Amino acid sequence: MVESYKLMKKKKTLYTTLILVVFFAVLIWSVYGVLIRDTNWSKIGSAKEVWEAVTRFFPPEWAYTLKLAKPTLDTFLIAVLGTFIALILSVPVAWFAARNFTPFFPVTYPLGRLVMTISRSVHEIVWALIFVAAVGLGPFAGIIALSMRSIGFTSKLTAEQIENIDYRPIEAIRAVGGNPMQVFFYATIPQVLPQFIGTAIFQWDINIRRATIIGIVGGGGLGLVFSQKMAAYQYAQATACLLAILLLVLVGEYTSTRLRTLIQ
Amino acid sequence: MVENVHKTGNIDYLKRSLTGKKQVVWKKIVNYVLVLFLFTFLYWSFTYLNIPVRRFFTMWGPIGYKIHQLFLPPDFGYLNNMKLLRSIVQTFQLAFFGTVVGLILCVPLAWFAAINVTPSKFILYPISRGIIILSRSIYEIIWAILFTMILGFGPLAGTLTCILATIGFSGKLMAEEVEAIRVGPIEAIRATGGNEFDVFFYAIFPQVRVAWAGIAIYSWDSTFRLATILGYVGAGGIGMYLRETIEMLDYSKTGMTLIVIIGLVIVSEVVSANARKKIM
Repeated sequence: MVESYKLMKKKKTLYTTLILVVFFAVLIWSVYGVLIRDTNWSKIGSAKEVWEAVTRFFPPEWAYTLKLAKPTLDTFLIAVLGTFIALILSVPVAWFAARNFTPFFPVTYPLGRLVMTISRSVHEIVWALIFVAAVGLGPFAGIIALSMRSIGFTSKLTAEQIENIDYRPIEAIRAVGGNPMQVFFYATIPQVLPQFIGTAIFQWDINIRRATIIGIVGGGGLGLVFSQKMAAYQYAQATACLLAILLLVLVGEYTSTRLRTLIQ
Repeated sequence: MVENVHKTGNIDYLKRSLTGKKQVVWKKIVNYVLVLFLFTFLYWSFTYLNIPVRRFFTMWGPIGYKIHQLFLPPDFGYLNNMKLLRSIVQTFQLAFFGTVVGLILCVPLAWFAAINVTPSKFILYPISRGIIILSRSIYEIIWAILFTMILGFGPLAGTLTCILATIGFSGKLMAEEVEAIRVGPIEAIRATGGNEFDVFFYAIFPQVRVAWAGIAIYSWDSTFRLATILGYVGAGGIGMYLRETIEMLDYSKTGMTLIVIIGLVIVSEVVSANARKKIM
C-alpha cells in the first residue's frame, strides 16, 4: 500500500518535472527565436534612438482632438450597428447550434457549429478585408465585418443558454394547448432573454474596441484617421487619435458595466 | 397586508389595483417608446454614416467572387514554402514568449490591483490599475503599429504587443479572482506577524492558483489568435504573408494562408481546452 502510494507519487513528480522541462525548453527556444534569430538589433538602434522615436509621439496635438469628434461618433455607431446586426443574425445560428432545439440535428447542428467556429477564428481585420473588397471602403464594410466576427461569441453563449433551459414552462404551455409559436414566445424567450441582453452589452463593449481598428484596412472610423496619420508621420495627431480611442473605450466600458449591473 | 386593508377600507384597495393597471399600461407605453427610439436611432445612424443599404443586396456577388478567388481552390503548393513554415514557428514563438512574460508581470499587477489585498492603496493600486486599463483600452493592433513604428518591423514588436495583450486580458481577470478570495487566511498570516510577501505567498496565491491557471490558458488562446494576425501590421508572424499576398493580388495564396491561420487557431484551442479540463 505504502509502496504503491510512493510509486504513484514518484510517477506524479516525474510527470510534473517532465512538463516543466518541456515548458522551459520551449520557452528558451522561443526567446532564442524571437530575440536572437529573428530580431535585427542593429536596425533598432541604440536606446537613445528608441527613446527619440517614443518622444516623437509627445506632446499630442490638442487642437486636433476637436476634429476627431466625427470619426469618434462614426466608430461608436459602427460598433452599435455591428453588434445589432450580429444579434439578429446570431438568433438563427444559436437556434441551429443548440443541441436540444436544432430543427434537424445531423445537418443543422454541425452547420451552426461551423458558422460559430469560423466566425470566431477569423480575425476582424480579415473579415474587414473581405468585406471592404465586397462592398467598398467605408463604415458599411466595417459594420458587416464586426457583425460577422461577433456572431460566433453571441450565438455560442446563447446556444449554451438554450441548452440549459428549464423544460417545465415549455411543458406547462404545451399542456394548456399552446402551439410551438406560443411555446417559443412565452417559455423559451423569457428564459434566454436576460442572458442574451447581457451578452449583447458585453459584445457591444468589445466591438467598440474592435471598431477602433477596423479602419486600418478601410472600414471607417478612428482607425482610418489613425493609420493615415501614422502613414503621414504626423505623430502628434496620431497621439490625439489614441486619446480619442482611449476616451471612447473607457466610456464604453463604464457604460456597459453600469448597464449590466442595472439589468441583473 | 390584511390589517392594512381592514384599516383603510375598500377604496384604498381599489386605488391600489388601479395603480397596478396603470403601471402595466405605462410599462407598455415605455416599451413602445423604446422600440420607436431604437428604430429612429437605427434610421438616423444609417443615414448619418451614409450607408448604401442597397449594396447589402448587391454585395453577395462580390463576396462570392472573393471567396472563389481565395479558396476555390487555395494554393496548396504555397504550403511547401520554407518561409511560410518558419513564420508559423515564429508566430508560435512570439506568442509563447509574450504570454509567459505577460503572465509573469500579471502576478504582481493582479496582486497590487486587487483593492482588498493591495499593499499600498494610494501608490501601487492606481499605478497597476492604470497599466491594466491602458493595455486593455488601446486595441492590440494599435499597440503593434506603435511598436513597429518605434522598434521597426519584426517579432520584437509582436512580442511586446503580446505582453501588453496578456496583461490587459488576464490582469483584470486575475485581479478579480484575488478580490473574491476569503480574508480569513490573510488575517491569520498577518496575526502571526507575516509581512506582505508572506501574505501573498501563503494566503493569496494558494487560493487563486487554480483560477489563475485557467485564466492563463484562456490568455494563451487569445494571444495566439492575436499573434496570427500581428504580421499584417509588420509585427512578425504568419500575418505578414496575408498582407504580402494581398498586395501581390495573389488571392489563392491568401486563401491558403487564411486556412493555415484558422487551422492553427483551432488546433491551439483544442489543445488548451484539453489542458483546461485537466487542470480544473
